[in-house]
Amino acid sequence: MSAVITTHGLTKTFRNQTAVDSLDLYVPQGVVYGFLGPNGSGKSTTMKMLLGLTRPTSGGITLFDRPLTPASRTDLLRSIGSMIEAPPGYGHLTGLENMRIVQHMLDLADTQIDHALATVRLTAHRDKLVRNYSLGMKQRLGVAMALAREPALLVLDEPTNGLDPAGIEEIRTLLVELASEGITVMVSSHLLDEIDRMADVLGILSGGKLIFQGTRGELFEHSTPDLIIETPDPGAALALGITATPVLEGLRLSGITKEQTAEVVRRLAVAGVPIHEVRRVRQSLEDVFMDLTGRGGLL
Amino acid sequence: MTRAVVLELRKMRRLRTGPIVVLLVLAVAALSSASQFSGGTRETFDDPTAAPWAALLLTYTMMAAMTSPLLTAVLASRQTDIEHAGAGWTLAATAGYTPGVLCRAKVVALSLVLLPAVALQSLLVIGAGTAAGIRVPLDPGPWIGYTTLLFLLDVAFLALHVWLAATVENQLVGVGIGMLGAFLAAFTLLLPSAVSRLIPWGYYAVIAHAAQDGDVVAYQSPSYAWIAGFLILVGAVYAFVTRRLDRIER
Repeated sequence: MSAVITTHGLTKTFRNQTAVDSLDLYVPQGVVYGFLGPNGSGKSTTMKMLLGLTRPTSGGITLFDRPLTPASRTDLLRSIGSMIEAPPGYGHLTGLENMRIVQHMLDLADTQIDHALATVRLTAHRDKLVRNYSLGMKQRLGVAMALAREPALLVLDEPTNGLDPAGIEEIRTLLVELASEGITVMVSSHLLDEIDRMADVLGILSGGKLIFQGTRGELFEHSTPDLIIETPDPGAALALGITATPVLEGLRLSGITKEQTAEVVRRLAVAGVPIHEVRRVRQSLEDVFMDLTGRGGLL
Repeated sequence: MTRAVVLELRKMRRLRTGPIVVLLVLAVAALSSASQFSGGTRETFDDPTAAPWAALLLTYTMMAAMTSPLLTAVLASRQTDIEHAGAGWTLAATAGYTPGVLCRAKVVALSLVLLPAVALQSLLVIGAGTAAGIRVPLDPGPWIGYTTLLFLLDVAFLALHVWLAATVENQLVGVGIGMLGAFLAAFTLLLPSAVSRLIPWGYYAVIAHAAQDGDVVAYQSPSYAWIAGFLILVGAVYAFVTRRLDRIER
């Protein structure tokens, strides 16, 4: 799969503080790339560097196989829609008037504006003043502004910030739809469950460093879920010297591999301990993340 | 740049820039002309030695000095604050419009509004003088000169306040400085020119085309070299600071 964004040793230092440290990002084409990390982990700074809004201290950025430089930036930005930090929008203008500003800035056609508004389902509210929009509508207007240029890459910084669950679901559905149309979406969040059901590829940032990059499945491979052995006689199992924690269903074993699981089950069976079920605990992305960061994350 | 200026004009919609300007223009014209309808002043209307038009221009100069710094501060603040409130700096930057370009475009767009306003203001004052009954012929030179320089000075202070509003998010700072400037501008009319030239707002006094010496009011030629120097300096500094704005990472 070809990459839309690659970075090599991308670093940003503010005075003596390193906000982004030697980042090697790889964002494949046509995916939703979930960019995760606690507040202050360097997500926004990274995204600003990707858009040429902030100069890297060192390292390089390649977008659409072209190096991002001051000379190439304007041309590259034509293909990139973005929403960084807060959703843009002049409160004293209507949604449509705001879109007209974007249209005039980028020399877009009326149809592009209409399509962008329709995509985020704001057509019915386009004549309302933006100051009267709900937060969700402002976020959607921000996405419409980013979409108006019909980008190949969409970079969205915390687009669900402050939204209620319905609003989050709406944005999530929208981004998945956009990805299905071939747009590469890079979306950041400090909340795992927001990203969990939409991202194809994840990049996890902690303290400015990329601690994981890959698919959801690859992320789960980094962590071994606990094993639950359902038995009506946990005492008999513990008497065999098995290290486990008694739970309601029976026993819970942590950090146990497939081979170790087979051995434990064999010993229980030989000892005649009744086993009703053996299963792994279903892990959330958050559990995996916490395992990955040694529970040092702030998510 | 033209595109950026048109963008700024589009953003002006519902900012009440027009009504604010019209209100100030009418206020300045009314305050400048109020004394023309008093009995004592009317006695001088057909006496060329009393220079009634020069006296009116001097009153107008004082009223304009008292209001113009505040007007420019308010206009610049309203036009620039929307970028802070609406994340406009980032939106524009991702479309290739740097903060420096936006600031320069704001000054041009606001100047386009101010140009007819200042001209109308002067015409209203002249119209009020004529309506009040001044029968001494009007010498248009000092009026045209003053109106032109008043406009150029307003543009210079628009530049200052746009930069200030872009740099300091709290708009009370810019408007507060505008109020202080209004006081200084009026106060410097009472100071020697040599002192007024050292105070930026003092140039509202330096551009005066009429002066009072004792009881005598007469037209005067302002120090064009100082005014030109000040305007060029403001232009150069503005070009420099707005280029620096482009390098600020928000």
